[in-house]
Amino acid sequence: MSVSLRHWPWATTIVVASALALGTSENASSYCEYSRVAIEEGQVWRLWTSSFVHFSESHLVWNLIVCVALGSWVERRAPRELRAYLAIAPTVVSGVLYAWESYLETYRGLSGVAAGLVVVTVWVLLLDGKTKEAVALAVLLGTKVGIEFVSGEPLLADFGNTGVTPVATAHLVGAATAFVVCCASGLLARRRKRRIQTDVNPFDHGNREGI
Amino acid sequence: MRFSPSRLQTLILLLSAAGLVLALTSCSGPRFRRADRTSSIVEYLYPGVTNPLAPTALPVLHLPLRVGVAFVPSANGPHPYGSSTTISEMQRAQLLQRVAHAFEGKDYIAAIEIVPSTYLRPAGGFENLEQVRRMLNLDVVALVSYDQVQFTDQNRLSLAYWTIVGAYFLDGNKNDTQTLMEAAVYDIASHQLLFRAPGAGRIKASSTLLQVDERLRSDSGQALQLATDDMIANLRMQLEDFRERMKTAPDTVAKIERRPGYTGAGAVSRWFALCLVGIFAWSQRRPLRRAMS
Repeated sequence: MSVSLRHWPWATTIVVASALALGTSENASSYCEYSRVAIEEGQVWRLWTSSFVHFSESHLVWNLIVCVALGSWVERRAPRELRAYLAIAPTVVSGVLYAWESYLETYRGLSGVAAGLVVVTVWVLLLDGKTKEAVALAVLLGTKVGIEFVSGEPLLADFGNTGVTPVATAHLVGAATAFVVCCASGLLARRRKRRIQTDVNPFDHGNREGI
Repeated sequence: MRFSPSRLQTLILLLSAAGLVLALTSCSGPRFRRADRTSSIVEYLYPGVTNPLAPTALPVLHLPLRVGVAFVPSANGPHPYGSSTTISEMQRAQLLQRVAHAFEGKDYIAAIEIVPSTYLRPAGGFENLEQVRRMLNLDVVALVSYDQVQFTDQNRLSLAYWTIVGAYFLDGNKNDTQTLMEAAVYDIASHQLLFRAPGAGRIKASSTLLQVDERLRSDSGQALQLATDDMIANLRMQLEDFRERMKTAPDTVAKIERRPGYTGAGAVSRWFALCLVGIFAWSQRRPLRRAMS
């Protein structure tokens, strides 16, 4: 029981449950969405909560499908990395939007976080030796983020005439945050491996003294 | 009045010599020429006004700004070298593209529009600018004007033009092309000049008598390029300076009002989500098969 609970993707569950709980309710959104004016007035929690509120059911559903599918799998394979990423990503995405998109008044949505989940998935697939699948995912995300960033127009995302503009920067920032988390994790793992090798080396001066 | 035969001979000789000198001189052309190409902002904005009054109202700028970039229309007469009185349309387009590029990447600029030369009429004034503002939905306009003066003079080598062959091979003409450009950024609504950026370029060259027009045309283009480079460098500096002034002393430069911002969303479309989940499911195919078996 304890083993299964330990492997339970609780971070993904919290993210998904939060998004479902807040849903598309205008009442919840008025307290949780990214609002430049409100953040400037001191409501800094919006930097974290803005990712969990959405504009419409379809906006929520498609973001959640990606998060559930990738998050639940990745969290079992690389729990520390995913949890670290999920803890910081919403704030980093909103923070960068605050710094870069000075004319963005309000923002909602989980896609920035979802874009980063794809990066973590690619990293785990690469560690598993599934290069083809990792490359396919990376190309799909890279094409979307690259075209969006260069052209400044969102790719494969449209809100019609609702007055809502998909924000391409959020995807780029989410992906970049996940990349940094994966790189940091890789560096830590390498350092740990080196330390273990040094500890078990029988010719190591320190070990000989110990023996 | 009678002339003795010897006097008549002398007179005919003198007249012939004078005729020859006249013919040769006309062959080599005038020793000094000057040509001006101008498009003046003052003539365009204040036609017929000798003492234009400076506007007193503080401009109201709605950030982010929508900027238009336009060439001030020229009202010149025919050019002495037979070439166009103004710079070519292609040169104008390239120049305006470069000026527009200088405005790009600034967070207080929302859009940059290149105003076609046909939209501006000579001596159109602010009335004409108002029309352009309404048509293209602009806030401010960067008016690019220029003043180009070309001199051509003859040096000592021009003596060889008397031999006619010299006019083909010896550089007896020295040319000097001076160009002054200016980009003046106006707030159209208040008629206020926000800032200006000048640029200058000078080309000195020499040519044979027969190539003088061709050489002057080439010098004209080169001097224009030099002046444009200088003006763009100054324009970038002025833009930064303007931004600083807006930050440090906003009430002295202009009254700043922010346009209502936009609403954004982080969204993955159904196509992107389906593709992602499809690839992910493909990556899991082996474990699934094993689990089922």
